[in-house]
Amino acid sequence: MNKKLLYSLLISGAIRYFISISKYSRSIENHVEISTPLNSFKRLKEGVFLYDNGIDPYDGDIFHESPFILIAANFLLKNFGEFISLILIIIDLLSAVFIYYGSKSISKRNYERQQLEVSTYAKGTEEIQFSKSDIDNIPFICAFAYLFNPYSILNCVGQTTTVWSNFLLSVVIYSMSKNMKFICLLALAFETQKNFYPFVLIVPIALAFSENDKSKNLKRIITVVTFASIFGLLNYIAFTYMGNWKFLDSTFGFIIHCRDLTPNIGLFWYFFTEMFDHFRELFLYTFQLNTTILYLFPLTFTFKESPEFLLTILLSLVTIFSSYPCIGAIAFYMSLIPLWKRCSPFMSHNFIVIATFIVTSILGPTVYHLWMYANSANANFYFGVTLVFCTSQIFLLTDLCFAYLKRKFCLTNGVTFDKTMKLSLE
Amino acid sequence: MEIKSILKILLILILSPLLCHSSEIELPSKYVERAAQGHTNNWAVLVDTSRFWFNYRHVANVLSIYRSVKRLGIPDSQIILMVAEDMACNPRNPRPATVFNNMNQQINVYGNDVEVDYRGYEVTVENFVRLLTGRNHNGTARSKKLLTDSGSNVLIYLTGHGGEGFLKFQDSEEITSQELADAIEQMWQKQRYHELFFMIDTCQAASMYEKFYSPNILAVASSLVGEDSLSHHVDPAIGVYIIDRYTYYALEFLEKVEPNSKKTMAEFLSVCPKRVCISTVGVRRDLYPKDPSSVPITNFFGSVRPIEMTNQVVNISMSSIPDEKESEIVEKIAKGVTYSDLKIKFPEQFPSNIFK
Amino acid sequence: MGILSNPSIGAHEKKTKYITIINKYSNLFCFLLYLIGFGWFCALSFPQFQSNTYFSENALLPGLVLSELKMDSVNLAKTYLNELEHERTSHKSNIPYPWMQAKMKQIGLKTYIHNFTLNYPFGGGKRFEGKNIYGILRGPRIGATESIVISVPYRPPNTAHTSITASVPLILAFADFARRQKYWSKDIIFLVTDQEQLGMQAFLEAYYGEDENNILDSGTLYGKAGSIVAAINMEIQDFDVDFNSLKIEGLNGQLPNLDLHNLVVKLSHKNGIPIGYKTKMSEHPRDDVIANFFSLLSMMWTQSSGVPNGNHGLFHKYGIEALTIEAVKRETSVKNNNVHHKIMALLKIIEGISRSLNNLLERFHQSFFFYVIVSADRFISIGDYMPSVGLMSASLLIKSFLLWLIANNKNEDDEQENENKEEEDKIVIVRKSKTTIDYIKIGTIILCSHIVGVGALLITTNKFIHDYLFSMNIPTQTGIFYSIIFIIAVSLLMPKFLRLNVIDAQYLNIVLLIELGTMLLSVSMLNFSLGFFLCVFITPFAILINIQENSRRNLLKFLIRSLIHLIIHPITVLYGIICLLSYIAFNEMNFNYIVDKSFTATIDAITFAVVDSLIYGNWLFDLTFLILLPCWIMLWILNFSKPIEKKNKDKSE
Repeated sequence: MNKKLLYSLLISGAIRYFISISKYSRSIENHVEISTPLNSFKRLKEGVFLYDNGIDPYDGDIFHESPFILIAANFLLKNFGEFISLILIIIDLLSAVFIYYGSKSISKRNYERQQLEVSTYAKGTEEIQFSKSDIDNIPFICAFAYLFNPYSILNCVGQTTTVWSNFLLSVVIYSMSKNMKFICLLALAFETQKNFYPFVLIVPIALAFSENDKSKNLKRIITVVTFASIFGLLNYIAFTYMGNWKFLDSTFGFIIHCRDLTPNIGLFWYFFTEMFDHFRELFLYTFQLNTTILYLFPLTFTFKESPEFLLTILLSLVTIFSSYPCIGAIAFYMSLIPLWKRCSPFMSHNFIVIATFIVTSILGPTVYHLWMYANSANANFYFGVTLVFCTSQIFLLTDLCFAYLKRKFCLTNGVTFDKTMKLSLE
Repeated sequence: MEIKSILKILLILILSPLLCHSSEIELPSKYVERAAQGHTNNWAVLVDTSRFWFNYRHVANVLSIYRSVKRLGIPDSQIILMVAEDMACNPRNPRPATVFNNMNQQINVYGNDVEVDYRGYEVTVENFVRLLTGRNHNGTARSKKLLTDSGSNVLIYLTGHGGEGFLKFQDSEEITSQELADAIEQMWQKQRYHELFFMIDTCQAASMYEKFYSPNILAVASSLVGEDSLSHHVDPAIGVYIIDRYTYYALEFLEKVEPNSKKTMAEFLSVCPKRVCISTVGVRRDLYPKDPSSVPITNFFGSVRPIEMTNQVVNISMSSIPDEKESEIVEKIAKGVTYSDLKIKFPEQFPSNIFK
Repeated sequence: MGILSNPSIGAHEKKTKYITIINKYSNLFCFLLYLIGFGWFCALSFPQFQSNTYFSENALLPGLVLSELKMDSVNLAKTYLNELEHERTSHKSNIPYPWMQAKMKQIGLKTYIHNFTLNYPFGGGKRFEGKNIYGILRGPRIGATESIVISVPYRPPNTAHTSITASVPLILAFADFARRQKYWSKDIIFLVTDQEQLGMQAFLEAYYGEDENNILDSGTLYGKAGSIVAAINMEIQDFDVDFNSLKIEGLNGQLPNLDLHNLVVKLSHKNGIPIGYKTKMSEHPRDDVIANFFSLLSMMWTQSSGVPNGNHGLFHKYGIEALTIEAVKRETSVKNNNVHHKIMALLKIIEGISRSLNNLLERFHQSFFFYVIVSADRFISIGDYMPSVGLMSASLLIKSFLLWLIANNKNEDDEQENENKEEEDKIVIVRKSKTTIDYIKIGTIILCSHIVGVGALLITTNKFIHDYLFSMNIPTQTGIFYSIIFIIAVSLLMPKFLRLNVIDAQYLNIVLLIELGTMLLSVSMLNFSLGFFLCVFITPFAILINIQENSRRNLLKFLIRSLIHLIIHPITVLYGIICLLSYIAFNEMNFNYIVDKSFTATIDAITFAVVDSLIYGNWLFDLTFLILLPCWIMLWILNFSKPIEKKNKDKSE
């Protein structure tokens, strides 16, 4: 393991630890930006307590985690209750390690792919080509971006179950890049069990696994079917363990129907608070389609030659538009963006996006405080801020997509053009 | 003594065929006249749509109108009273169990003879529209139904907070003028009224009757579109506004009306001029074929009371007394009847002493 | 999608044209924004920009109800006052609990005593104890779900504050009257607090079951009423009232709902007692712009410190609307003065307020929560004043954006010059940038300066350090002073270890400007006055201090710049303000004396700020050390940035 990474791990681990023992940890845990009904540690504890006392935690409206999280948390809280924050920190650091190695092999693969085509590239495009040193640089930046992102730090201190999701996702990415099919699909199935939305990632994964194959479509179908059967099997195991199917409605149903309208940083709650009941279903499904499969196919066809890029984009989309987003998930997809470092010369909104992130991340909690505790502001202030936050995320995303396409174009056509020429990718 | 007076009525009933030369049963000429006009019974729907202590005046409004129409003869069974809040029992009320409509506190309009049919959270747009159109749920109590027919003259009185084209119910929902107009059209199609008098006391009240398109409706509103209706005065002892201006002056007028009054609707429509009302009273008469000045006010505020005649003695009060014994007494009294006793009197609404 | 991200490739062409213009005028433009913002605020003192106060909440029905108070309540108040005066001769330093408890019980209130303890964070674990006393009047015809608080701070005879003995008799007389009424829909808590704000804080913490604060042990309440909707704090100096003064500024600059303010103003007027905001009723005329301006500033000054100016201020933290009515006693005696009349008026004011609050159906939510009072009947709402702060803090964000544009394009420009000859008619989209930015170093500087801030906060508030200082026999104040000197020394020495070249410094400046802009925006959301003053002070420096770009170093210029930096150090500023204030207050004193005194006053002020932050949760102190000081350190480092090495550049060319 390289030294820089080791130091980063140590320092960021220490930061996480010190914040989690400080007096702020409890208020961090209660922040709506960090804890949603889906990932809150408080609810997890409650669920475990209910389960321990022989009450089905899925009967009530408190607990919405997957049964596997319940089992794991039950075990951990019982045996290592004292060290739970330490365990979570270690898991978070492990995620960073997986991101590091995952992005390392992705960069390597990108470099190799480029080597195959490099002869077709225009001259003068060295600046936007992957260089050999990128194989070492990019993974570190990715891991660094995860380790020192305030969002992931707060998420870890808040002890949310998003730490687990991030871990599973990092395993997905690692195993995908290393072509470890079964582990990858298993991790994805677990993650889908927990958060539902990540099932869309099966598309880039199927693309990735079929890359060097002759019968591509067959291979893809096999991957999807395997995933579906693993997922089904997991649910069946959960069923045998829990004794009934209630958990399905309490997890997937809860996510799809957006039953809890507690304010969060997403776009659902405000809209559905105002919604007339008889339109609710319609808009609910429209929103969910938007989150999951509306962009899935267009994006797949556009980016099918780079499943890793597709994965980055899909994961960010799903995170932004999910019904209970939290900053932990945002931190995760942000850490994948440095993978496309070579696109950055084409990204024109970097500064605005970053500045908006900073401003809204500070203003959001301020306004929330005024609304909830000081009783003086109202929901519109908070929603306004979160809307700007989401918009800036979407800016980032579209900017990245366009930058990728522009880069691709420039690689073959060169980076210098006549002034008179008008070019557009529209 | 009260028994006596009841018996006197019975006597009248018994004697009336005799007075009519008992050859054949004939309807009183006046009744026939009215029946020819198609108006055989009177109903009233009185609605207060607003809650909360500071809306005391709306409850006082609706209860005052209730009191007036009852005094003028519409029986409780034909008045549907909807009151959204129980002001009398509000903990803020310094005069518990009472509602007054005047700062002198002369009349407690929430006396012990008030029958509220829809109360509190039952006062909803849905219930109101169901009531008007007769599409009640199965099992709705009879007192909660508007059992009108093609011969009914219906008075609808609404009070609460309104805006242009809507009236707020309960601080949570509102009925629009279009919905109301459609509900009334449905009443007409179902022959649920003969004539309808619509009276509304809210802000921008006139906007509520503008969409009406069914025939035989006469409508009056406390204010025109763009105007606010104002309250009349405060009772400093209770600490709230106690009645609205329009209703106050309408009541002032109604107080002078007797059941056999000759006053006309035209007079009623000119009540509360702008000088005292501050808002302009709006009237809509294009849907009403008659000339309001020829329509007696009792057509809407009073009641046609169909009288059924019988030759037998009916014991309506004391079941313990056998009928024969009663009839003996009656006959005894009947012998001493003089003509002066037959003068028609209006007894108390609820001669509660009988039931002691 | 064109709006989101311009997909056309040749977007660059026009950009460079503007860059030179931006480069030239960016400071001017940002400063202009600042001036417009400031001008906007000044314009608010014109009456055209102010609104008259009005009631938004229907349910209040202010002053409609006829008072039912009789003369016997007035007599009772006088009797209570006499009795209390007698008790005070034997209770020199505490509340006469037996008397007060007896009276409350006699009236028919459920009476309780609330004990609390302060474990003083400094001075080796000293403990102070206090006792509040309160009585609850239950709403007779409704479940106890909501309540109103009528509170009074009790000041024993040996207090340093103005005596407000008449308050307790007044609220007891009112309690006696209220007990006999049947229309209360809310419980009324009559609360007499001990130890000024400490008692109130303890009461509220105990009421809401907050026990995280181990400095103030808030004890247990044995009787509670419903959730508190509103509170009125009374400070009656004497029954012979000259005028009522309203105090509204609460903890961290929170204000009560404007409806409550209006209610009190209206009832006071109605009952014939003049009321003013901070002034006597002789209010300045509407059109007196200068007076308007100063009365604006005077409110904002009080608000900006975040320290409540009365017991009401602590309620705001819990979302309870509260204010203090201070009845100021008449200084000059008037013949034939009818004190009975005044007592009646005061009682009627309380009665009116209570009955209006009693009418409330929901918590206050209608009127304004963010406003600035110009006079008792005029105010400026958030929509009118926010643009001024918005413009000022936006100028920082805009400046940072402009700097970003300049910094990014400068590299390109330099390179373009070289290539121009061959590529006159070509656009080059991506070039290899030759200057690399040392992100790690910039990050380290940002991190280090914030760590200094966090360290400063830890040092000054850490209990172990204070215990250690105590065991070393160093007084708390001196201890805090030394730790702050230490911090200043560290911050001054930072540039010694961390220096940037001009290009990197530009990027640090961008980050700094974003941080300042964001901080100012959110501070002015929370506490407008503080945000405004910070904006007025910080923005010009942040905009106008540019990084020296020319390699020729002008020593004099450098020294002047360093001096300016030292002057705007938070501690220097604090000292300056205190000097100024004491100069205004004691202008007859010797200048040296004032300078000397202000020094100790500054140390005291810092100590109080620490205590405020620890006990009440005032965040001004935390803000200073967590954001302002690190920002200053970054500015300081920027001041020492190295000019870019010419050789290096030559080599690359």
